[in-house]
Amino acid sequence: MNSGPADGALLTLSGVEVTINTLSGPVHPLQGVDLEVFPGETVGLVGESGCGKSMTLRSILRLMPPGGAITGGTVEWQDRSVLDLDTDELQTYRGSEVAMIYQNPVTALDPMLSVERQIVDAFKANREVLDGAPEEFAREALRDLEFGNPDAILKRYPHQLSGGMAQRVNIALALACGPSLILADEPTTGLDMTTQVRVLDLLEQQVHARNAALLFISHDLRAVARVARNIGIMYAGRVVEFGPRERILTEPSHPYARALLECVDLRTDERPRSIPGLVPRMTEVYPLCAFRERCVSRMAVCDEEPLPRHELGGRRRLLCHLGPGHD
Amino acid sequence: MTTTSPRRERRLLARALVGPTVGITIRRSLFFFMLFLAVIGPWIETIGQWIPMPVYDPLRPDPFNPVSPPSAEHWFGTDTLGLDIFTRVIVATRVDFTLALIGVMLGGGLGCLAGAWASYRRGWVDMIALRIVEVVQSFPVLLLGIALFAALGSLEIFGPVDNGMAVLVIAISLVNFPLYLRQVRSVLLPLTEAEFVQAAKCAGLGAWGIVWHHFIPNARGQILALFPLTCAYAIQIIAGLSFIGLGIEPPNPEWGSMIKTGATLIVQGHWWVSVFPGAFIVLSVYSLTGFSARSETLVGPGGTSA
Amino acid sequence: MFLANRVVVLAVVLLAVVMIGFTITRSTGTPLYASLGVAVSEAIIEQRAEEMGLNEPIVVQFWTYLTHLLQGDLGVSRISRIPVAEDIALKLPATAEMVFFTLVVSFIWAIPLGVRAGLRPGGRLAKLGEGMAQFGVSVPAFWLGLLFIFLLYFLPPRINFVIPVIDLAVGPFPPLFPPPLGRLGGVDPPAMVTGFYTVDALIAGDFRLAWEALWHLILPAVTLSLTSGPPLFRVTRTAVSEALASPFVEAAYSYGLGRRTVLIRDVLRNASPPVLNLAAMTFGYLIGGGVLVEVVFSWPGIGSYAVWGMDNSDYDVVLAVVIIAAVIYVILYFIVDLIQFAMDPRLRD
Repeated sequence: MNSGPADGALLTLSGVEVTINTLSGPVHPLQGVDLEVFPGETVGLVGESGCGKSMTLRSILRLMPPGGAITGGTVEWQDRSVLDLDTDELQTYRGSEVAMIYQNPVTALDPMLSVERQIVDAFKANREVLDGAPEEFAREALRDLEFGNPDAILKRYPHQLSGGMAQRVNIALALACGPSLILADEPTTGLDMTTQVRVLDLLEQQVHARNAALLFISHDLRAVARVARNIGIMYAGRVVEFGPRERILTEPSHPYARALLECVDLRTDERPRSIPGLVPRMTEVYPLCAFRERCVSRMAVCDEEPLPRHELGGRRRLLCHLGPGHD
Repeated sequence: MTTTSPRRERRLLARALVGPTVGITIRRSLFFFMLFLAVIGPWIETIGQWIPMPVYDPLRPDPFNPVSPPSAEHWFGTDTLGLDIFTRVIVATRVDFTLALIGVMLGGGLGCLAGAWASYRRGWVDMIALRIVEVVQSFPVLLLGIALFAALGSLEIFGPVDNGMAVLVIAISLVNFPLYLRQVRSVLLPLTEAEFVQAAKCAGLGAWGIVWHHFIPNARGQILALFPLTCAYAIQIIAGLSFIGLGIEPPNPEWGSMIKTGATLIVQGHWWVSVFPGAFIVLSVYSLTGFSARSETLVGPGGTSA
Repeated sequence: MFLANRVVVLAVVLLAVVMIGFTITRSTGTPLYASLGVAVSEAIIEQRAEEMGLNEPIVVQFWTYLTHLLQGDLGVSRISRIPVAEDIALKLPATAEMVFFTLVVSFIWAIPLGVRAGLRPGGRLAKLGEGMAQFGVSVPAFWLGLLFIFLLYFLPPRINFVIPVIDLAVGPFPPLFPPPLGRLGGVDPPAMVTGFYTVDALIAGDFRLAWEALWHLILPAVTLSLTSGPPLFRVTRTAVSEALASPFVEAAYSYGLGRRTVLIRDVLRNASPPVLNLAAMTFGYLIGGGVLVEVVFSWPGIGSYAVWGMDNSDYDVVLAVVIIAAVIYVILYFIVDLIQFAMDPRLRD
């Protein structure tokens, strides 16, 4: 079922499975994630909370929570397998190749260290040769993020930053490592509306200025649609549909993607509606379609056969018995 | 972060789940055994007539048999007066348990009420309560006990109650008062703003009504978790004070004062006089702490160095 | 603001501590009977009460005591006729040295095991630490001290037997530790500089004496550490595991920082305030809380002094020790706040 790494892809996930052993039994947040990111492009992942978006990002960095492990599939960075990297290689890969921006900007910064120390340390960990003082680089990093007065910010501690400022510092930190892929885990969730737009614009602008790729996840389809050229829809630990933004937004094939679009009508600012039914519990493994209980197009075959995978060309992919081109 | 394999993780988890449960079952059974000893203590001689067990009058010296090592006649040996240590260790269980219980209930009860009151009134009442806690806890427990004995030790103001025991109970209460006050306050203070309390106020329920119907049930879990720990702590304090001759005076059987008797003998090799009573303290404390999964909460720095 | 607030609280608590200590020991009529016995004539009691100022109202007595206290006058021992302040100046360093080494021992076992248990819960060392903590909480310090004396001082010279098959004679061994008779075994103490014999001996350049002092310190310090260390172990474990689980640690890993760097820079730094806090509190607590261990090892510290005062109804001695111990505790509490303040940028605003 799993295909090899796509030609020229920066990052290829195929069939990634994650299991976390908790006190109340195993949880399976990822049940076969397929995803490619190409150099310089922006990919968005959308899904309800608990669908495995954040865990997907963590599996790319091989950062597992206690009790968690990648139990299946492959993660390829260019032509290397991330899961086979040793400690030193992994350390180089994290930050220098792939860096992450976290959901809660304030708690992602160490409360006991100044902004300067944190940026400088991230620099030193990822740049072998520095021509110039690292402090100078830190100042430059903040200036890129449109801080009017970087010297004052460098001396501050995280609790002295507003949410928007903290998130810009986080972006500066991630960019400081010089990665070619940035992972953004709902980077604007806790911020107010105007700050969200500003931070998002800055992020996009800076990522493009560096020719880096961006993998952006959010439960908010609007935010994803703003920045991403290709969008994946996640449900119950799988990317159930993937394709270019225009396709996904105008004629999605997966019933879940359609339901999601109906919930958030992009043209109005109405209150989002909800999809009837419950989000599946991830304590179970779903070999069959996990959405079928809530699906309006449920068929007999959905209850009998495992999910088929349709490669539709043009990077479109669909995990559904309906197949493409139905209506 | 990524180094543990799922299998290893599962194994650790299984151990974490099963380990304490078995241990705690053993400790709880041990506690009920100690409780049993405390109950039968005074009738130990009668029981000795039915079960083949060498028990004696805990207070009758045997001048021909001083400091004799453990033997078939004296399982735990005898002390300087020839008193049988096995019998005395069992009889002492009741003394230590009872005094600990009374002291903790007295001080803990008052502490709970004060904590509930402080959480209800907040503001300056709460501030004064906190300062009192801070001041009382500034005194090292044993020095507080020594000071209490200096003040009350020779007064016969407790009527028929033994003076030393009364002062011990006061000392235990004094130590427990701030512990319970703090614990109850930490649970209840966030609750005073809770909607159901506000609703009860609006419905005209009086202060004590709210404390009784809303606060006490909410704090019950915390109080119950603290109770066995403080009892264990109290046993250590009682034994510690008796060890320096305060509280229960010899020849009345009490673990701490029995250890005191043996303290000078141990450098001559007569270990049994001190070792057995101490082992019973360890067993009691160990069994009592088995009732609280969160044994971390035990009373702060050096809490048990009594 | 934070500091000003703490200073006011400190002053209030100190005053209350002295007041309560004073009231407890002096408010009752006992000191007179205690010091004279019951069978003396009214006239003598009256005269003695007048001398001791006991006929004054309690408030006046307290005021007198407080003003004297502020001038460093803690009264005079009824038995030895030596000013209590002088005795305490001699005995406090003995206690402080013992408590200091107790903390040294705790920093050797409780904190490393706590760190390890926080990093790898359920591991072998975590189990060992938890076992030691359980043991330390359950065992009375004075009894543990006696056990050590028996096993490490009394027993080794008496181990003397031959293993039959290989015909190997075992023992007797020399005692591993000195008899429990104070700070030095009949040797003259070094010239007083700090009052810590180990340090003073080193200052005097006498290494043998320093070793002798250290040798006498080990058992009391280990005893106290085993029984006062469990909270340190547990707090360290909790602090480390909480710090380890925080988002900024994951973020630090994601920037490619190495495990060592993250552990030292983020985890240990963030875990250290509560641990240092508790360590300082433990120190303050043990100044008065090590009484029984002092008694067991005949350690000439303020705890033994208080017990001696108690036994002789020398209640100015008891009062002085109680107040000194409580005051030290309160002041350390204050210093802990200062340390927190210095370490945690969040408190500085």
